[in-house]
Amino acid sequence: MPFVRLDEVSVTYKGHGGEVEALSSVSLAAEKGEAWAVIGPSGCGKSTLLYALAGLVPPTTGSIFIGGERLLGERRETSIILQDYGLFPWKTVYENAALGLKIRHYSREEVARKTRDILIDLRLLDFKNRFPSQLSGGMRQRVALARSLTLDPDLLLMDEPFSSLDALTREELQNNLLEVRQADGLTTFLVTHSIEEAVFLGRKILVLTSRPGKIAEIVDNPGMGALDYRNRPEFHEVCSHLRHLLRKGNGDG
Amino acid sequence: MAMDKRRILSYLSTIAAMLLAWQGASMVVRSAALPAPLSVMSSFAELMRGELLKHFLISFYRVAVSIILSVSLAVPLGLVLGREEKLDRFFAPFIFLTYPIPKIVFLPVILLLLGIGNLSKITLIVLIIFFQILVTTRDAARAIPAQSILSVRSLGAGWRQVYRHVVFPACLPDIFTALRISVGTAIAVLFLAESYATEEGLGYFIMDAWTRINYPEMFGGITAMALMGAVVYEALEALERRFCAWTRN
Ligand SMILES: Nc1ncnc2c1ncn2[C@@H]1O[C@H](COP(=O)(O)OP(=O)(O)OP(=O)(O)O)[C@@H](O)[C@H]1O
Ligand SMILES: [Mg+2]
Repeated sequence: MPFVRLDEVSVTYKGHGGEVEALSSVSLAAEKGEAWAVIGPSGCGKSTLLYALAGLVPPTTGSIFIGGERLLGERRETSIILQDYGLFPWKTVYENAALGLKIRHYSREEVARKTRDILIDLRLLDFKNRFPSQLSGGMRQRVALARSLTLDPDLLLMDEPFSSLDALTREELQNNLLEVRQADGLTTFLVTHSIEEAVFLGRKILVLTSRPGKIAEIVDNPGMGALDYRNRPEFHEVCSHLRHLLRKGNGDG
Repeated sequence: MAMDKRRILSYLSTIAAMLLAWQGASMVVRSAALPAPLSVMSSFAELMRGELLKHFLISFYRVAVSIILSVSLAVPLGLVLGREEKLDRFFAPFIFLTYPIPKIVFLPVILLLLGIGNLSKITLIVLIIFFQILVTTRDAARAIPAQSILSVRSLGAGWRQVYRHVVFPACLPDIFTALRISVGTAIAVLFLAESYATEEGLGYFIMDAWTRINYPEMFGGITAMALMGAVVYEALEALERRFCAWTRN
């Protein structure tokens, strides 16, 4: 049985300016521990798909199952990193990282211990009293990751987590993520604009068409997972296949 | 600590410059209506040991209570109206209709209903600065990006925690700005309210000295008023430094 299953999920936003169909009839099945990347043109509903998976936005039609249960709202074991990291500028690194535990009423000692452990893992302990505005982009990203990991999630959703970083920091964090994933057997969904990132971090790559987002193709990427994958010929083959798909999708839209 | 020293120094140099300009002006004008600063200072010091202190404390009490009361009414209401669209749609017209009315016109009614004591003064000030704080807080709460709310909700926050961890801290810098503006208004309104039908407060003290053509006393009262403003502003600054540390870097 798949860990995450979407059945014909559509999301329509009802706003002041009428209705916007953001996602149309998306079905997929992800195994436990699998790494998914989601890619598609801007505004095609990638963030919407993550919000739906997080239980923050209910599907207008269709249904989502996680761990065999129908998703009806936020779920304790799901963590999401939002597009702009979702850190709070008024909280320090430590307070940001500890917030999830605090909200879930963990005991004071447990909050302190878990937060400390994760901050050490992500080399952030020396900066625990700083505010996000006093950090580099890469450090902020690590804080967001720390906050998600404190909750011991089994499903980690990331919305363009590395898009505003320089190339070197980005590769370093991508490698970080790969290691975290392998250690914990996390199921991950990562939204990205970058073809290379999708191929490096996605065992399955979900390609969406322009709005309303429909599945263009789910690309299988069996070579993913090795740290040196970027230098292999298969990597570049999958990249060019994706590039082709995205061009075609854009032409249609 | 270095910061505090700098602040004290800047206060001292400002006061020195003001005294100098004042001294110059009084020498040019050569009138009892603008006494020299030195004579005002000495009468201020003497007055503060006696009657003036009482009036200072009463005025200070009225301003402080008005501010605290306005904040505790306007901030929660503003936060909720800014976030809950349905409530806002119901209340916004009421606010927009009443906000521009110059509340000072209610002074006679308030005096009639609430008497000439503290209650009427405090009510009038609250009536005025409540709206300033309410409107600013509401607008700040509306401007919070949806992502911030989603972010804390995704961590499992209920509505109480959304307000506590996101809505309130996000609006706090704007609330302090509104407060600083309101303090100026509050003191001006207090002066007006104290300048008739009462025998207590700095407003009364100043107007009374004026009618007795006792200019050193009048200026002593004005000095006390400036001092009161400075004390309240500094208290706000200290609170903001403590609770909005993230905005300074
Ligand atoms: N709360 C909302 N109300 C109305 N429409 C919305 C809302 N959120 C998103 N949309 C619309 O839904 C569509 C999909 O938005 P979404 O944010 O999911 O796209 P995206 O693929 O993440 O875009 P990007 O790559 O630019 O981040 C867009 O056209 C957007 O304008
Ligand atoms: Mg997006």
